Amino acid sequence: MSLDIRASTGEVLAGGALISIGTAFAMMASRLPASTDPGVPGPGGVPFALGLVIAALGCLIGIKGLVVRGGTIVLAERKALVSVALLCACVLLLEAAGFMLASFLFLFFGFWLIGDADWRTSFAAAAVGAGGLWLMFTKALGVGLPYGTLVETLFR
Amino acid sequence: MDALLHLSQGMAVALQPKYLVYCFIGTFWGSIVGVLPGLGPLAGMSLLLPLTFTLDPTGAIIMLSGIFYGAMYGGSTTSILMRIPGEAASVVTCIDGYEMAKKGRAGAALTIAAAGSFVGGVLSVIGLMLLAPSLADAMLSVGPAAEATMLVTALLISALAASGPVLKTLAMIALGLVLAMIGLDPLTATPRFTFGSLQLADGISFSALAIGLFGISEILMSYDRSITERPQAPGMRDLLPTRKEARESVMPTFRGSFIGFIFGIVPGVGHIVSTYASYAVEKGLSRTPQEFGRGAVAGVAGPESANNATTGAAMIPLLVLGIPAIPVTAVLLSALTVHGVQPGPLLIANHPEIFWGLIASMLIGNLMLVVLNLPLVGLFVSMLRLPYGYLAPTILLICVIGVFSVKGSTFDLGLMLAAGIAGYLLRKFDFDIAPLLLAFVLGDRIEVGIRRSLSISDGDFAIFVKGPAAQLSLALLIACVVGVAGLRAYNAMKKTKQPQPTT
Repeated sequence: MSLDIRASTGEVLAGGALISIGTAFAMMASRLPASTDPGVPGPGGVPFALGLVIAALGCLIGIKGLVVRGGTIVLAERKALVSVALLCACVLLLEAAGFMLASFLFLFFGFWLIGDADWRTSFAAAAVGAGGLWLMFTKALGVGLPYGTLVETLFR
Repeated sequence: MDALLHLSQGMAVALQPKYLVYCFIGTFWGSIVGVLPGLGPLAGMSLLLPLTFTLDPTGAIIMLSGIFYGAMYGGSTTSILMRIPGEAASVVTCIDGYEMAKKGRAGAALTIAAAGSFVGGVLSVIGLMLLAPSLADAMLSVGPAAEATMLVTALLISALAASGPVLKTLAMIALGLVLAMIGLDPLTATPRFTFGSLQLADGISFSALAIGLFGISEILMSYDRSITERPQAPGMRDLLPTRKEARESVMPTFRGSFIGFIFGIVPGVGHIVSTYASYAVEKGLSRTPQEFGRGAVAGVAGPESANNATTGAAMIPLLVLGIPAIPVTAVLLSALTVHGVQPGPLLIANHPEIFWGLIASMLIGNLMLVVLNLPLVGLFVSMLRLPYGYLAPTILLICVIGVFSVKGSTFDLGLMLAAGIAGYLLRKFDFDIAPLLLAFVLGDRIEVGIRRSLSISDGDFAIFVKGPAAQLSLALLIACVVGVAGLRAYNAMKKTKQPQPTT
């Protein structure tokens, strides 16, 4: 499973995104207070100019995309999409479920879906991995990792 | 004599057990990220960056620079054994290194690469030691306008040297600069682009951006490049080169070291271009140029010493001018800034323990790498046998821990994820994201420099071209533009002169 896009369409989209970002920054910068010294840019001066530069470069990149023909770009394949989804879930779960559970689930599904391992191997490897990382970072390196709302509520 | 005296003081710092441990961790981790295809020094440093915040500044810079030159060493292993460059600067080593391996000389190629890396690394550190103090003295008189000009020039030169198209690289630089302006204005404390968010008032976290752009996106990209080959590690006996091979590697090693050092000082050009330049020089000087591409010893020794010689040279703009010439040194700059140490002309005077301790640790680290890397080649090869499907989720989880450990903020994790997805998409569309990080690091200083200078000159822009430092950097920019344009014209001419295939 993969998500493909034509290179020229990609260039136009990238150009469009840059135009939007540049214009947004320029507009927001123009609303910032002006400098009291004549000829000296205030807080919005430099970002305003940069916003315009980004938009102009976006225009040129978009136009080039319209003119030049190219091949196809594989935008995202299954493993990349799975990784992003797992990362989102891990970030959302981290504080509520705690590092141990969030990292175990992340590694379990990661080994199973990305590493194509069977579920038993994935389960064992994830348990060892999550435990090992917890020990390494909290005990050896002194990094504070969250225990999770549930654990804190139960044991406090 | 002064330099030797300072070096002995640096040795006293670097030989302290804790700094030896940091140096070892850095070089060992650097070798690992150099060996693993897809993970370069930038990703390796970004991953460990948050952990260095708990160390003292000397320890942090010793460990991070160890990753930098360790990755340069490690990169040659996969290039020689599998024709897969562990990192970008090892691409050239693939050509003749792999051919030597095919002839059963993999061990000799690894030793020649390691010896070249060692000589290149050590000579560049000596160059850094001799050049930096006098350059720092000269830089003390540079004002904010000349500094702003030098910083902008460094960014523009890096745009010329970037791997992507110039238009896209310029867009990345502008984007990096504007991202650096999110948060409180450094001169008036006016909130800018924060949307009322307290987290954004502090600005975008460097570690979230760097780990997202280079850690996460690197892993997402690497799924496209699955490794199927299972390399064999050469035995200890095979590591010895023959007398002929050793003789053939001596001069290329010294020439490569010189080329690498010169290229390393120029912003943006760095280690990748120096390896190509060294290869071209060796091929041009060789009496048997037809051997290049078929396992020439000089084709391994020259580029490998060149790419390591850039490591010491790249420290000169960072430590003397406070300008990170390449994204890797931008990470070092960020680490020092977090500790309240500002690299620049005053660093040597104000923090001699950091400067000379770093130099001494680089000498020790290079020695460690030679002693460790060759006997441990079997370990590195066995790491390549680890299924990538297991390695990738583990590295992604380490990215999460790394960012979370800085402030314990899930907001930063969201930023890291957004930066990772953006970096992945940008790379898919042929944008070089390294200049974005460089611009992000320099953004604040460029803006403050421009505004302060214009305030001094009452809005007169001519202030940016006054003074020898500004004029010298502009001359360097013009020379680079002319050089790149000339090179492109020459390549285009060569292409049109080539006979067209008849149908």
